[in-house]
Amino acid sequence: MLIPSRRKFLNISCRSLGTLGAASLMSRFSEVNALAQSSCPTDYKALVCIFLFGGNDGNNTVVPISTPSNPANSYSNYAQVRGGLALPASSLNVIGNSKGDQYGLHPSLAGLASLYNSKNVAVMVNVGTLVTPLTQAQYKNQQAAIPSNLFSHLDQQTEWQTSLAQGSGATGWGGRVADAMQGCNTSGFPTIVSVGGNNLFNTGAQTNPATVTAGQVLGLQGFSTSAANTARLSALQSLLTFDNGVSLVQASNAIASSGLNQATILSQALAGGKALTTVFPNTSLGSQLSQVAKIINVRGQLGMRRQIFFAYLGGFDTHDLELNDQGTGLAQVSQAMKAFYDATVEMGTADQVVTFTESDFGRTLQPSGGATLGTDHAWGSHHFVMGGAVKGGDIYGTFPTLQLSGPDDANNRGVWIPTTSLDQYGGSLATWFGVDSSKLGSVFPNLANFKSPLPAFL
Amino acid sequence: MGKRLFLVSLCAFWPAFAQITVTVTPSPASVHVGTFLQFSARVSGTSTTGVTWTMTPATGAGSISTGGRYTPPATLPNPNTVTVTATSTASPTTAGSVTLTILNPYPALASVNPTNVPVGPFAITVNGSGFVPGAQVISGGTAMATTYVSSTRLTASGVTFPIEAGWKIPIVVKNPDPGSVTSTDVVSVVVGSSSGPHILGANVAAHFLDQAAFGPDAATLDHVETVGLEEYLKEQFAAPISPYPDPATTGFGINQVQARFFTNAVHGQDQLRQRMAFTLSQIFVVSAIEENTPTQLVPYLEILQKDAFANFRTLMRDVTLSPTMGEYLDMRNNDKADPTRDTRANENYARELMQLFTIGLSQLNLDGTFKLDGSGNPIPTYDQTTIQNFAKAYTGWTYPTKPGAVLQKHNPAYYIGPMVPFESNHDTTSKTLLNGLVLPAGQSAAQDLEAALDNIFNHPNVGPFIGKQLIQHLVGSNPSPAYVARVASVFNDNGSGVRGDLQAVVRAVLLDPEARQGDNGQFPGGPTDVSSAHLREPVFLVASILRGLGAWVNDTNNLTAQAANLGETVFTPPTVFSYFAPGYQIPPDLTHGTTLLGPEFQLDSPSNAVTRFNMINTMIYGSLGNGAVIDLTPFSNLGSNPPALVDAISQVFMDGQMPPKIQTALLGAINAITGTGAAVNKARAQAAIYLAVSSSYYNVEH
Repeated sequence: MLIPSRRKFLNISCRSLGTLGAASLMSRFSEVNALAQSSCPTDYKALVCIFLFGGNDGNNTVVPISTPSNPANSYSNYAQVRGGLALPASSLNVIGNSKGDQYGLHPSLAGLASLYNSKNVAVMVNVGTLVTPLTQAQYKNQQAAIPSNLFSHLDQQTEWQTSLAQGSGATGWGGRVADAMQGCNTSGFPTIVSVGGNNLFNTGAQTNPATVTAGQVLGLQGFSTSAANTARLSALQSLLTFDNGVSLVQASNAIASSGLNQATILSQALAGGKALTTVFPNTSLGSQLSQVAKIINVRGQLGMRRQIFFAYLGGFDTHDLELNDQGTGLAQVSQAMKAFYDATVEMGTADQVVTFTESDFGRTLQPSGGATLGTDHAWGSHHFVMGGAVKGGDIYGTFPTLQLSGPDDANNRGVWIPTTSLDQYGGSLATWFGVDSSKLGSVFPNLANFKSPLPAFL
Repeated sequence: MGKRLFLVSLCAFWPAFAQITVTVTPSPASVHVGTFLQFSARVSGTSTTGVTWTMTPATGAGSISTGGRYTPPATLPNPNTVTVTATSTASPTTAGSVTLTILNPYPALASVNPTNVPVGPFAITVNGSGFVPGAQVISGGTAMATTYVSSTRLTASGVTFPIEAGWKIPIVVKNPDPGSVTSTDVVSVVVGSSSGPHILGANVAAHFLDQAAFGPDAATLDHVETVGLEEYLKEQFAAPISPYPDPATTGFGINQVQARFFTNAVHGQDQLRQRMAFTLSQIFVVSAIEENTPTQLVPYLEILQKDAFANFRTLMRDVTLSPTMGEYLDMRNNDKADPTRDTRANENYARELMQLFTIGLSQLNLDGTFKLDGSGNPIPTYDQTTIQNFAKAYTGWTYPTKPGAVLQKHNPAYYIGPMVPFESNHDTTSKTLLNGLVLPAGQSAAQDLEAALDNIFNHPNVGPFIGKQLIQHLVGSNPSPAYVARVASVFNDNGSGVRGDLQAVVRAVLLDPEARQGDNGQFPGGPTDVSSAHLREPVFLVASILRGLGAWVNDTNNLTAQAANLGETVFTPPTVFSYFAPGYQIPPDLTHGTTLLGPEFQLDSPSNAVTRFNMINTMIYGSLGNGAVIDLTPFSNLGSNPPALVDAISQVFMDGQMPPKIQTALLGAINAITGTGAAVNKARAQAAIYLAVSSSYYNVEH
């Protein structure tokens, strides 16, 4: 293959691609928009979303052990309903809360438990998609707005990413936060970087994300500085401006142009970054978060004051083999998040970076049959918020009563009606990030339906 | 002493009674002539673990080394079994033995002569190695009358038919048992010349082959120009299926199955079936993330190939009872509710069969638009209770019973044939399904299953739901409602009163006026609104570039890695939702502000677009390895005549309609490569092809 040396390549790409419509793209990036804030902070903050695709089983993520403040729950209630899926009490990572209760995190979550106990991780329980507060009676009698297409992976992933539980959102809540904050960055580089490909979370009304795939080469290969190669590069650039009127061709041109520009800017910035010593696990999520850390590390070179990142892990749709598969997935999550936290400490940004989890939905408390046990799609679930700024070591929200057909069950298999909405969860994160309270309603249109204060984990 | 205590005591003393044993693996063992087999021996009960290797008979049937490596003789011995023995050096009276079966060699092909055969009777000579008496030459799946000449040569005779004119037909050799193996299809013959006058323009044929095939190649293009679209479709419906390697006899790994996919996509004569089967694999999804051996995957791929033009109800049944699908979506070993374990029927298959494979979440009009309630909201097709009822209807099925085994509640994993019911594990209560249909209590697992599948199959959503997705995969991302309605009507009734005739549906998809717009570069609705446009997904892009360039691909190719870098590993979608969603919207600020669907764009992130350029760089300037070879000579030969070079590229990749601005860009790059000679001509061809297939104009098929 005709691959020039890396240094040589960087020189070429800077020189040659610098002219590739960069100016026009920059102006689109920094276009004034309706959501943009009038005042801008001057410090640095980052939000990192980790999406657990498939619907992580919250019931085996946070387990009640001894909960005097919530007497309806106990380990024995949990164990009785969960049957063969119950995690042994002795295997759990014990955590306490400010009310004197004891819960246990899944045995694979040792890293997150240690961060919880050092007050750098908080747990948000029974959070989920809602249009408006919903009682069990209102849900069963359909007397209030109910999220669209509950229990469907794609729809619930979409609603978690758009924070529009009525469905049909065209932008993500991360993208709308970026719309509000993009102007606060001093360069045109996108506020959002996805290390997990295209996801609606990242799409704003005025802004689109940069993407980076861990392990992929940044930038064009195969161009030397010869006259022939310069002419070919110039021809490629000219092709990317060719508008034959077909909208999909234009979309492909715009994406490819963005990709070339982003690669140029990022490779320049990363080339000047000091290597991190924190060791990340060699896993999918570990590689993604390692890439995120590298980009945060060159935030100054990139001219960023506010950044949002999107990472993901799949494999949580545990209809069978749950004890095995969820354990594998959560171990990867815990190890990668712990390494990422350590990296933020190394960079001196631990207080400026907040990482949080999302997932399609929780899973039924009652197992489903088969040679190996699993669970089906449910609704409200438990999530983690990590960072030095987090009021960690505590559990926020209302833990559901683990009882089939009980007061929190949407049907008869242990499907929790959320008691905190995603809008409130995201509202806390966005407020910490610096979105003005006056703009919060534009980012979370349903938030006004919820009168209770935002969860206080930040 | 209690019984438990006694056992513990016995265990504690057990090492004192331990004896020396020798265990030889693998056992039983088999090996093909021309290869070798490494045995290992585990000696337990002593710290002296050395062994001496011997075999019976000691001579005439191969040899075994002091390290336990067995090498067969040059030809199959008679009898074709030997006993291999490892004797403990610590205890010469202690030994372990296995019976080793020696199998015929792997046949390998090097060449065939002649490479062009006439229409009608023909004879060929096949050269290679590893042939044995009884070996059979197979041409395009059909066994030929074969004569054994030597271990490196066979002769064979057969017949070709007029419809095969212009086709490239793979030639393979199959050795007989014991250990019958078929060679990989690395050589082929081209049948006759298509000889008749062209009745279609190349532009029409090329555009059609981007929809009905993995893009045009020179021979197929010529053939379609000669016979026309209707006749080509008829041929395609009748073309023999390009096979997948049989897991039981080839010993192939999953990567070779993926490689065969590309071999079939680039060279298969059954292009439309290959394209359709790949489309179906993205709707009726199983993923090699879990179904990761050929034993699991190949039988499922064979269902999708076989049913690609069958009735949709047949496809539903075959997929539903596939043990591979059963394993992927948990319908195998789906237990009825068990009060003692507090479990309920697993909802996974019940949900996804409706949501993803057949009807979707919301009620549809015939044209694929949502039916709306009085408040303007979509109307759900079913609710959670319906799913729980379907889940009950699907209880009781387990893996097929292995030959010689006895049916159990949970049969061990086995993937050949349909799943079977274990009746006492079937929920026999009544179930209420779609549109209020009640399955009475007391029905068998099969009765409930057939009734449930009929209930779904007859739902009015299936036609528009499936019809629109087939259009999106084969033709364009944004079909008009009228186009969807025309296809759905054919799904509902093929003209002879039959519902679900996929052959009729595919014909309707491909011959619709909306699919055919652009055949002559004409877009009646204006070019900004081309509904028959979609981004080439990575697998299609790889295959169509290779076909356009006349590349040669065999089962050792690693094209899977190229598409995987762009987010599409063949047969390995990340979830049952496949690689991309049919409803994925392109951010509107990228499409002149209009809201457009672009399913394939879900994979087209900015960084993947750069990776795509780099993949094309590897294809054109680098190497794809020995399994996928591109010969640019036909293009390089035009290097001294730039307009002719550009025109040739236009014919292959742009339906002969390359816009002037792209021509100008290509000519600029060509003319910057100065000088004369072969190297210059090749560099010119490379630069021009790189640019053409990198362009969005090419990547968005339209």
